[in-house]
Amino acid sequence: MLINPTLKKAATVLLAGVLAAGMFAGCGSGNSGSTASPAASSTAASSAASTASQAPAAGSEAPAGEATIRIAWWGNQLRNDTTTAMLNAYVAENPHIKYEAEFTDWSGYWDKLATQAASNNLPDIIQQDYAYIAQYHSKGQLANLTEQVDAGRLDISDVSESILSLGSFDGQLYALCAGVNAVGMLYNTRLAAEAGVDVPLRFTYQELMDMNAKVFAATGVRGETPGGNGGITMMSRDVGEVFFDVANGKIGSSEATVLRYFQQVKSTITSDWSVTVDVMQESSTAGVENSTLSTVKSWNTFPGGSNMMAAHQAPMDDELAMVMYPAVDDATKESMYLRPAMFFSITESSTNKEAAADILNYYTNSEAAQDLLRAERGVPVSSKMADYLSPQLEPVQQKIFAYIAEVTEVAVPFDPPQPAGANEVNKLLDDLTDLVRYGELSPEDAAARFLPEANDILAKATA
Amino acid sequence: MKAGKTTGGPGGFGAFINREQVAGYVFILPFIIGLVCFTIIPIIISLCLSFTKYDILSAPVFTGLSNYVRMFTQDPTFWKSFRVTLFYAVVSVPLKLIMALFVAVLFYRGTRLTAFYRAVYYLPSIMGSSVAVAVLWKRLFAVDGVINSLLAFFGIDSQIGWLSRPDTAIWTLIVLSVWQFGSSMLVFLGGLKQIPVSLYEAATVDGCSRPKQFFSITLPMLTPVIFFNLIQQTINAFTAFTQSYIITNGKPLDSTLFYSVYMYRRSFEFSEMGYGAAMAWFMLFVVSVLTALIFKSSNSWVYRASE
Repeated sequence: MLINPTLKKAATVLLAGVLAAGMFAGCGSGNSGSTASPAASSTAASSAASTASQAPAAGSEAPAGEATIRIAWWGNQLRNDTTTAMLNAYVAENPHIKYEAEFTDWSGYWDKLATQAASNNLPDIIQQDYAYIAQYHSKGQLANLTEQVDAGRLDISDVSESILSLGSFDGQLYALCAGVNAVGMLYNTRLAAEAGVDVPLRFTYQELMDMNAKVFAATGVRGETPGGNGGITMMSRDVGEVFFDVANGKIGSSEATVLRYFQQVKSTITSDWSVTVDVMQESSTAGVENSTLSTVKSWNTFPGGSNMMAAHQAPMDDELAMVMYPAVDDATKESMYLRPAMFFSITESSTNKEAAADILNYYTNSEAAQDLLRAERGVPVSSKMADYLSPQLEPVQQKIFAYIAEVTEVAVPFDPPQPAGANEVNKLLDDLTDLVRYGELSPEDAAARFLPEANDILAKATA
Repeated sequence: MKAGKTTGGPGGFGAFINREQVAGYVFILPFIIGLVCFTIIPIIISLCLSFTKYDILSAPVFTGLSNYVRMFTQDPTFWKSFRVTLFYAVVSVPLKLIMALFVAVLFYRGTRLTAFYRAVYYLPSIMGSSVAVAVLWKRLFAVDGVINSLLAFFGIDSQIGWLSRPDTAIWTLIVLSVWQFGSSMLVFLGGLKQIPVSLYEAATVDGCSRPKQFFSITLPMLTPVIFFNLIQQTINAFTAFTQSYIITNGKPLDSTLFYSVYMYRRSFEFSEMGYGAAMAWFMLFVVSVLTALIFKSSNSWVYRASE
């Protein structure tokens, strides 16, 4: 009778201890940060893998090249499915390799990657964006891919030089383009036909506004002109300027260009054919499927890239087509460019760079991989693979391929990667654009504010 | 530790562990570890970070008070977001409490369906800060949304995007907040049940009218509950995030830019963790001062049975 309560107490203490231990374990696996592991690996396996990959010596990799590759990307369900299918196919061919996939949506992705970088625990392969590669490269987080190319592990002989240059710093490749993209105007072919508007492949801002007016008069559906970073970037390129002058750490667009941009915003919003500011505002926080184009509130729109065509087309009955960006009326330079939809990089902290390079090679050069990936990240960078895949695709994908081919004919190199502080500058540009749209600020005042404030942000960000 | 004189245990470890305090601490150990690991340590780290420039990718650099100086003197958006949040709190909290009290009084005189209605009115509070409700709200107040369709039904042709106008957007968020009066309502209902029926009986006998009873009995007796709700809802309002982040993302023209959304934007979108941490500490300071003021003022208006 005397022992019984003691035993009972001891048992509860033990239980509490187990609970506490469980919490510690929770702490530990939280650091390894794998949100989703389709490779059917338990938490225990994943934390074991991350310790293995951090071991400096080759001891842990003793059995002939055996390795676990962690690969991270942002995206949608379609991308998650196609990419894991490709990785499964790769692993089936290379049984000594295992993989762990970590995917999230865009907004959570960069928070997570930054945290992993801070704890020196980045995956071996990370999907990268043009807005971030400069930052990651300057902090020494990305591995030199040219070394892998020279060693014969990564074949880039079918990838054009202009595409490779966008992921290169000082002539060395750090980020391999995962798919090719181009900006342009998407429009609703039914509405254009109804209005009797024959949309040319290339046109000026004046011609664009005339088309907008014509479509509105005939169908009652409104129109758009470019705005934000995309709009001012192309206006600058039209006259041989570069919006982010990275080399000099300031805005490269001239006062005249900035003023022209805000004047265009003003003349659009005060025209009778323009999408109203109310609708614009709503669509700015809505997903692609609720865009003004997809909900037929406008007959045209200017997406971030040609790979967005499929997403815009999906919820629609009317057929879409894509043409090039408008040019300012006195354009002096070609402004159209090809750009990476996104990149893949191998991280400097990876201890399995060879195996990671082999996966990227498979992604880039294998027909089997293209069959599974379905150009979801944009047109394959290898011209050979693009030719292979093109005839098998759905109509909307074929249109994207055809558009990319058109742009390839004229494309000139793109601006350098956006510098630190670019996000804040783009936000400032959007804010001032909104102020002009709401009539709170004249184009002249907005232009006068933009350059000094943006330069100030860039100076602070690099300080 | 020496083994004390305890009952039961055969000395040594057993005696130690069986001491009442020790056993108690062991029992709450899992919670303590969680609190220290996930709350206290991060809070301390955030205080340290607020004195640094930290872009997450590289190590933090100590910059003294510069984040605070910049915040107070060079960042108009900071003050804008502070004003927006203050306005939101000052308007939405009283409206929500009045609404909650009104409905609670209605339900107090129960009918057979009271339990059902109580559940129905409580639902919005549960879903309150969820993404689904935020998206629903966005659709309700869209140009082609339900509100405008209703107006059209009454012959008013409205092309207003309620969330797109700088002067109406914040009000839609306030309406959303007031709509989520359920949890305050439940607390009020609990408070109402505590009021002795004898008071009302006496008042009725004395010929006191219903409104008079409400203001002379119900309201004074409820003040402790009102006090609790006021504190709770004020803190909620100052830390509101989802509504603004999902529905408007601070737009239009920053008219719905809640403090916490701006803090998030600075920290994660502009990679200025140090600045974000400084903002968090300023918010902690403001909320603490406000709470202290409400507590202080409570002496003069909250009824306490013991006095």
